[in-house]
Amino acid sequence: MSKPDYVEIVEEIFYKTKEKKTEEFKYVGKDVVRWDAISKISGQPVYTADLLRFIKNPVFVYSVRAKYAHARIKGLDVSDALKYPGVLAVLTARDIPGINDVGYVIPDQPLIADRKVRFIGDTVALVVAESLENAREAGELVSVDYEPLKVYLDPLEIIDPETLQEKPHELIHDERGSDILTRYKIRVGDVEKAFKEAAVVVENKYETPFQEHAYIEPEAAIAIPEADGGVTIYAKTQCPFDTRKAVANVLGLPFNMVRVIAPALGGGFGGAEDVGNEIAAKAALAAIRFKRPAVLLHTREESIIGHTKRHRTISWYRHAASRDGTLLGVEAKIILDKGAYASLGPFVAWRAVVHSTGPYKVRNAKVDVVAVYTNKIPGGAFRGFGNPQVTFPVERQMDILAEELGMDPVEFRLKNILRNGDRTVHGQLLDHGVGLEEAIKKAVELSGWYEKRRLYASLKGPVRRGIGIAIFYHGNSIGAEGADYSSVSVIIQRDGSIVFRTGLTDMGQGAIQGLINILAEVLGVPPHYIKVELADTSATPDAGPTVASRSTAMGGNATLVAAYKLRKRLDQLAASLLGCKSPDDVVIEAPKVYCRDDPSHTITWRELVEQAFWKGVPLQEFGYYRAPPAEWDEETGTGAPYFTYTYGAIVSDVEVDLETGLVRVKEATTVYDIGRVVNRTGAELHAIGGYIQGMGYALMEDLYYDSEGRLLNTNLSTYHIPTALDTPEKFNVYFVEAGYYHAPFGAKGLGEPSIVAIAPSIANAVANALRSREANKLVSKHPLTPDYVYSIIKKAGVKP
Amino acid sequence: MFYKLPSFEYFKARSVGEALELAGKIGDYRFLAGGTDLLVDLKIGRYKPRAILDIGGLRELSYIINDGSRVRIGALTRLEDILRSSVVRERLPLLHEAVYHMASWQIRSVATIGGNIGNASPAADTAPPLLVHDAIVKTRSVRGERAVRLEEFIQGPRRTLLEPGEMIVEFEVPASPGLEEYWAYRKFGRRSAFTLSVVGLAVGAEFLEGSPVFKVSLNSVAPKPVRARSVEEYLKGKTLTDSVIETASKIVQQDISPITDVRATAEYRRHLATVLLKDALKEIAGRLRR
Ligand SMILES: Cc1cc2nc3c(=O)[nH]c(=O)nc-3n(C[C@H](O)[C@H](O)[C@H](O)COP(=O)(O)OP(=O)(O)OC[C@H]3O[C@@H](n4cnc5c(N)ncnc54)[C@H](O)[C@@H]3O)c2cc1C
Repeated sequence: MSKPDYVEIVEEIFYKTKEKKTEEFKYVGKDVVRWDAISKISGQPVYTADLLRFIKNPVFVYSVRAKYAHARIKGLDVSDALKYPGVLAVLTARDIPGINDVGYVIPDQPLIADRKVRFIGDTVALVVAESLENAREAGELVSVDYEPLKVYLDPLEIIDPETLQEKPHELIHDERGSDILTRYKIRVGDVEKAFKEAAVVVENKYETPFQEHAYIEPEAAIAIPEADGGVTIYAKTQCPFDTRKAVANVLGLPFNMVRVIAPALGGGFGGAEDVGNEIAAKAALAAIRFKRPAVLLHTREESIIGHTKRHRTISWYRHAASRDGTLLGVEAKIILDKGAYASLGPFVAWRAVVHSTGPYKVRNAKVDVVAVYTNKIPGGAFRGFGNPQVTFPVERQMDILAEELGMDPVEFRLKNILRNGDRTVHGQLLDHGVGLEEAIKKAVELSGWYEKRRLYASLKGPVRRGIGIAIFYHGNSIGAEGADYSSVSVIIQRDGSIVFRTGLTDMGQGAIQGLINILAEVLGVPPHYIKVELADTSATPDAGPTVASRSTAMGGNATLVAAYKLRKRLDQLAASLLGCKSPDDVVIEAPKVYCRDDPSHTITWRELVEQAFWKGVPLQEFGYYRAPPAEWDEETGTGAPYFTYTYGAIVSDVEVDLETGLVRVKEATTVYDIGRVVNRTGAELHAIGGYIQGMGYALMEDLYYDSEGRLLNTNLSTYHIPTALDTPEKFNVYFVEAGYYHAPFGAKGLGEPSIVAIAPSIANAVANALRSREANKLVSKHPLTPDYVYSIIKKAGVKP
Repeated sequence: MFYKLPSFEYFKARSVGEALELAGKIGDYRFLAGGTDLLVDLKIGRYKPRAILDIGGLRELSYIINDGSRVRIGALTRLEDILRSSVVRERLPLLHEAVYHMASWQIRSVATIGGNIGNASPAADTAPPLLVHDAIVKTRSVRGERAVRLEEFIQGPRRTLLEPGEMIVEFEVPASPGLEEYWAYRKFGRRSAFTLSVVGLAVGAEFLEGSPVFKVSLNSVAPKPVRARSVEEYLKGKTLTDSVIETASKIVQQDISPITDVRATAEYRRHLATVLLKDALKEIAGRLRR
């Protein structure tokens, strides 16, 4: 079978530019001002809620939430709420024309609860009113007759950690007959034998917390009824095509009658996946019913209660190694605290199992991942998507192993890491760009690892310093989660300006700038010629979801294909207009176009475009790219789960106050192998932004529930994220560019990878600062709040 | 659960006199200064007053006056003005330092010192320095003026000696050469900025016939900001040697009664009180030796 043309194009460009240094490109890898920077910093109305000022005669939709974390709904009385001034309707589950479900992966989550509520964020009714205030006030008057059920906050009440069997309990999802959402496993080699032969075995229990995305923009949706019975929705959503599907299901409409547009998002980090579907569906219900624009705006508290979080995990890890420091085997059990609904949990659990042994050569492994429902806010997608939760225990284990073996943590890792030509634990052959060794060495050099290790070990006094490393790999794109494709369209206008369309969204991550740089590089036009249209299900081609660090590689490939085809046609035309020897000799440096050997004889880009118009050379192109299907064997956990991996090494340098337990990061070094830097500013800011978000996860962020399942920290005064003053004084950022042949100029993703190994690098640095074998084992969960670190210091008897 | 502002009648006072008259008449009201505490409290339903009396615009109560042995600060002086005042920086450095660590520029630009004390939060950050200075709270109503020691004025969480119709008009803060020179402040929060105190601590030394008298105050460790009287008693007439500091920082446990909340456990707060006090006393001992 011959390769599809799009694969050939991507390969051709990759091999043609493989040896070309990134500095030698014109736009790729350069510091280019982001296309949307000026409108954002000058406060233009770019976000969904901003658009309210252009909307006339709206109705407002407010979600009445559950009063119990787990209860049966015996009855619902909306009569008082209906009498409240300005109230138009109180919608309940019965008012849904289509299917009452917004479950992302499996249909387990009603849009409006009908039989029971499973967490405090469940919606029991929607109040539609003339003002948001009236809707909220009337919401207080909706009276629900609940039969409270036992509230489960700890997954270990539901699953036995020894046997991983479900315990008898009052089911949260009685309709499913089980509160185990999903199980994944890896079974390779002979683990028993490996442990028997091992010189050193270390085992420990680990915990990672929930994490709130804390994006700046709380959710918002505006739905506008269309004359044909359809609806157009502007909403904060990362994945407008998924949102369209959810809304169409709820309304019982065909997809083409639902148009979803994603304006700029004020942050997403994965959090704007499911909740985007939910808010869009709620607003659309009201818009269709009242034939008026319908607006839904979340407060910060509604946002925190109403959208998914990073899954909390509890895990048990055992590692076996030989005396010379070779990893022999891994055994692990990982429990995901699912919260009330599946959301993207099945995929998160899968990514967790894939990455559960880290970027190491592992021949013997027995791993089980189980996702267990509880009555908490659902876990869902969050930058890293299951990988941070397993990288933390793995990288802690590596440091404990190194200590047991008397090896330096870097040397120990170098002995076991994956290199080109190795196979992953799943048996996947790594036949390209494994830049991990280079990344580790560069991080060691930039951070001054060896000198600091030595120096810090001799420091005296109550304030200690420590330095720690953590490494990781991260599968790009969605792997075996589904069909993996991307598309864009490029339309050159008659004046030479360019319209760029893709269903990928901008949530502040700036990935679109990478696509602009690629398009500009191939066409030979400055980036400011290109205008990016909003992701719009009726106007932009479906590019798959904007998730999983896939925009640069997948969207970039589609962009590359479209740009390549346009460029070929324009080169042909230019060669004939200018009389170049061959189309390959045409140089486009818009506004100038000339033959390579005669730069003095030029035509303009605009003239070229005009000629194309008259001569019938099409000026629009569609770019499509489909990734090779991933392979995964459910029984053994083997195959080729992702087509490529981003690698990285993080070194954190911390200060620990032995008297208070306070940890401060002084310096951070991040080195990522991203194949090729296509957007330098974006990549550097991701390295830093990912670090800071990871540092919050490591040091201060967690959710606190009372015993009834009510969240205690529902806003940013009690959910603490780092401030500018908490950030390290110094960042060393470096990129390794071990290219991937099926990616644009070799580029791989960075969005999620930039958070994956931050927490373990900080935890390892803290453990290093404590200089105690016992404390090393006790650093087994985060956030590493002063309370917790001080309790370790006390327990391990660490003295100044 | 999803907070909204309840309805109320709104009055904007054009003078202190008018505010007091209105207050006397209305009965069920709340003063609104910067609103940075009050708006949150209204939204969560802590207060449901019939009326809001907006005194935020009364510039006549916004001043910092260097008045010989004391500094007088108008109740409606904004925290940012306090931070920028050279009088405060030189004569009340503890207050300067505490305000420096409060909130953010945006909040400090509307929040007032009267609101911080009037709110009577156990975590009020201006309280420890003001307590160390033995500040006097001046109040006024149509019935006349009163002067109450701050230590008595704050009674417990959100409770003060303020009577109906009474307004805080001024803080009279005794200054002394000792406190200008020998002071130490610590604030321990959940992060490095923009955070409420998990424990806040102000320590200063004044001189009586040539020998130092130590004054210690903490917040967030009791139902209200407290003076650590047992510590002060113990330190009377002593020199700050390492062992004295050690003992003093343990004695502080008798002066506090912290609780567990989302910011920290009671046990950890107790530990912090000792650690921070030890640290602060060492800093002062160092300065005294010079
Ligand atoms: C984001 C944020 C961060 C914060 N950080 C801190 C911090 O770090 N440290 C800290 O201590 N606080 C902090 N606060 C709390 C608050 O900002 C301060 O307590 C502030 O000083 C309150 O002043 P205000 O003028 O806004 O008071 P308001 O909210 O207007 O009033 C507070 C209370 O005092 C009463 N009151 C006000 N003025 C008078 C008066 N003259 N006479 C009688 N009663 C009066 C009011 O009726 C009300 O009950 C923070 C608040 C926010 C929102």
